[in-house]
Amino acid sequence: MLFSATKERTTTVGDRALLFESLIQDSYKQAYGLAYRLTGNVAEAEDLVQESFVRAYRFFHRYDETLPFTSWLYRIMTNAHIDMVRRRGRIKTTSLEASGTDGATTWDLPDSEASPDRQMLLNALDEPVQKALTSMTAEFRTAVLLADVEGLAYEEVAEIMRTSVGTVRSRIHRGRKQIRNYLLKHAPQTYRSFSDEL
Amino acid sequence: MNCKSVQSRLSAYLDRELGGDELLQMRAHMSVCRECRCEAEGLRVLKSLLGGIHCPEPPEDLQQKLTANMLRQRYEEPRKIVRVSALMFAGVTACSMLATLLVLNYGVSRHLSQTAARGGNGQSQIAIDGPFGGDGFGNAPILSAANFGPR
Repeated sequence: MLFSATKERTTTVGDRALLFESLIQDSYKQAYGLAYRLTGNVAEAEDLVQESFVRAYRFFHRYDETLPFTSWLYRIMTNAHIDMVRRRGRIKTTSLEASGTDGATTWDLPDSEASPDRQMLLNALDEPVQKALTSMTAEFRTAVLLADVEGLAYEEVAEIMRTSVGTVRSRIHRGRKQIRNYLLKHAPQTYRSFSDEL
Repeated sequence: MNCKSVQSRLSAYLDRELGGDELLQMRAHMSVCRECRCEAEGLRVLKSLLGGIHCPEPPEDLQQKLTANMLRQRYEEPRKIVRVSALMFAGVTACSMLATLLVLNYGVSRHLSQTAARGGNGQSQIAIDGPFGGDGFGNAPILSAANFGPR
């Protein structure tokens, strides 16, 4: 009786380990992408991904399998990232820049087919975009990345960040404006060329 | 809706996160306001840029590291539970010993004060009337006081 109970438990633990291993396989690349954008460098991104998966496995019994694993993992990752930033005393307290309106320019709707020029401009803007992201507070950066890079709805972002949809809306909007102002200041020509491409 | 309130909702508008009256008011305002339309287009460009940025490939051995971490946790967990149990046992034992000592102390002091009150000669007198009474153990009354003092 005792043996069968122990055996059953072992099998369950084994199954969960197998399930977790397959979830690692499915999600680690995506998780690394977000971690890289959050931290801005490969070493910290790797640390963050490892810490996030360690925490995820520790609390795996709380994971609701009916919900997407990545959403749950992202929640863990954003908390781990904020802990990491606090631990290293690097919370940015930059003031929010006022939004600038360039007024005179109009753009067409974005083309879904990326041209070689557009790809080149995207590559050229990669570094300034990352610098702009790094200059923001962790909360703004996370909200923008989850919405724009991960393509999540505001409600999902709010769920991950454990805040209200209104706060998410505000963070995304102000975050985007900060990035745009940064690009207009630090990479104006490339950014304008990219705008013209669209 | 004025320009300020429209512009504060532009990101939500572009992300299709608005509905109902709010959406209708936004559309109505944008159809007549060139400045807000331009601001919307500017944010649309940025959204497109952020959606297209390249995410780097993870290191080749990352997946193996993550799996190894998981396996390590899996095998360390039972040992951790044993360690926690041992610590808890030690803690509970220490607390019970402390509690016993406190009770004993309380008993002695109470007995002493009662004896002093009865004797009235200012000299502490410990009644040796327990099972160890009169057996030649000079310090034994601590136990007897605790067990039989408050008679």
